[in-house]
Amino acid sequence: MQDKREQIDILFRKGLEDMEILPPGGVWNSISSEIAVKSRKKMNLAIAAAAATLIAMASSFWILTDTIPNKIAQGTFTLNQDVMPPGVYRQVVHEEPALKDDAVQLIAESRAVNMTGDYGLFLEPYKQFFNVDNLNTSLELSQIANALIQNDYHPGLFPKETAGTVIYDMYADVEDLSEIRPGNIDRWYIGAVFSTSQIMRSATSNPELKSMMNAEKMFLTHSGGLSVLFNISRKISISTGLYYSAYGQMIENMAAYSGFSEYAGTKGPGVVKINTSAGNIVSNKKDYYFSDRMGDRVTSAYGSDFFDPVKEGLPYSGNSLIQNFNYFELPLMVRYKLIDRIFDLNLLSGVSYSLLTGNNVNLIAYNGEKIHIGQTEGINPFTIIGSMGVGMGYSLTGSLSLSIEPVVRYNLSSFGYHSPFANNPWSVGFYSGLYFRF
Amino acid sequence: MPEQRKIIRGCLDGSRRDQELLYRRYSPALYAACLQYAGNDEEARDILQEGFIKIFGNLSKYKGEGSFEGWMRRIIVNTALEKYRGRFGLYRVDDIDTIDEPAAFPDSYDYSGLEAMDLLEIIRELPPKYRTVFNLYAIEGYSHKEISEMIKISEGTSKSNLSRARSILRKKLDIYMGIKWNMADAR
Repeated sequence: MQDKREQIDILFRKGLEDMEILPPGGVWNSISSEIAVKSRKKMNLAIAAAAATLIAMASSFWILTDTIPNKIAQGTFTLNQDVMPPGVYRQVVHEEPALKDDAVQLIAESRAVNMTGDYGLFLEPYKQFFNVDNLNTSLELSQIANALIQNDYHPGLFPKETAGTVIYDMYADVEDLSEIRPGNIDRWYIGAVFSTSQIMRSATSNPELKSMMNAEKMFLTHSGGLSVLFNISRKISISTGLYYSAYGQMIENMAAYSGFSEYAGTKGPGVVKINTSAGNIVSNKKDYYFSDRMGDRVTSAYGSDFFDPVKEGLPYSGNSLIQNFNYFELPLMVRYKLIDRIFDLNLLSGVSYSLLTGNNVNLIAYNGEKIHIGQTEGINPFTIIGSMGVGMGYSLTGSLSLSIEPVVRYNLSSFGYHSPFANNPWSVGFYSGLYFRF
Repeated sequence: MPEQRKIIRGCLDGSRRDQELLYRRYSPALYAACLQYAGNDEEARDILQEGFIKIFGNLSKYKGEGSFEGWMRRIIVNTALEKYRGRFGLYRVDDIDTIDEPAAFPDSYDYSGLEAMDLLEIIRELPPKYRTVFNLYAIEGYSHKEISEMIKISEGTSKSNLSRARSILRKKLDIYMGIKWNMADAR
């Protein structure tokens, strides 16, 4: 009786042991997306830690090198345009199957296939895609290949012993299956980007300029904003956005005294000009008297041979000035994806159109107080900056990506009209950003 | 199989091509297993999808001991069981001796005309409790003790469900083959 009862077990076990049923379409896409997300999530902590470390390093560097207390208003952390967009584009838009020329040629030259042979066994599961009832009907291999591609099946992926040899070999020369693989590209991304960069100035042989620059300390430039990215293809993308950038430098070895207003006016308007490498600072702050400890950077009707603030007992106020320049930037960047893996590598290049929105000069008082004294004249209100760099991208989740890019930027147009030299500064920066797919 | 090892290695390296190749090669057999356990095609698809995600996620744990197909199948079966675990509540187990046992197959009966799809359809008509136990015992080869631990039922319930499953399958086989049985007469 026991043996008899088990007969039914044996019947079903034997009958089902070699059974195979083709799964429904689309399952692989779901699996592929999920395992890609899971593999990226495993790197989340390390990448997030790396990003946090980078930002902390940049911030620490800014804090450590910036000796002015945080009462400075214009040193804001804003965002930067030169940030690589998310580098993982796992889907390609549905388009006409694009075969490599050699594969197309091979298919075109192929003979009609007798479906009852090995090819028939191989192609049996795909009968549904051919709209033919009779598998004995001969089909051109091009029809077979196109039908498979359009339905996201890639003959080249099947092991050679089970695939029709001709079909498999067709794709042996195709180096990048993504070229013939239909699918969807994630077209649009929106991102928040941030950067810190250092402006570099070329060495000069001009002794006056050299002396001037020695007494000036450039701040790290901070910028940031929103960026919108559009993927033209799997390899090429363009981005634009709106960014706010802050530049500045400190002018040292100055001496400022307050209480000058009662003396100002005796020799005419108390307009003071202070020469800097970025341009002339113009101050009409009548209550402050400025002198240059280094030389003759200060141009005023009240020169040292006319007025001695120490002798007159004017209170000493401070010895440093800060020039701040703020811009709205409209970038236009093009990126080319060199490597499309878990970590993407991109080349990027573009231009930014910058509109000067802020031009302020502040005296840093000895107690840290910031006193607005004027502006820098002759600053070009509109500049064009070129950028080039490489970048790395990593998808943190299916829709959120992190990018990190070192970029070199160069002023294609002059920074100022009246600076002692027509300066076209260049900078090296490190940019990071988070992009969200929508 | 060297090629299988190569594919597995490629999957572990994150090669999307090898991952898809592995899926394409083994999914038909595993999907058939999913259909055995699932109540409907949608559930079978979910089991397959979740099962393969687990397969790729745990691929590093496969040390080459035993069949790779068997390893994957166990993951698929466990995935299917997760969907049904918890649906089985402990209930009073009838006395096994009082349950009608299906009559034995007549020695002269020939079921060779039944195809795999027929057998699959018959199994899928079983209630989930009976289907799961029958699959685990008769198809996968687990003992009642193992089944009781896997799906959190008692051994007695496992035996009871298996017996009932066989009884139902026997009747459905009769229907398929166009033969009527009188179980009392067969004893």
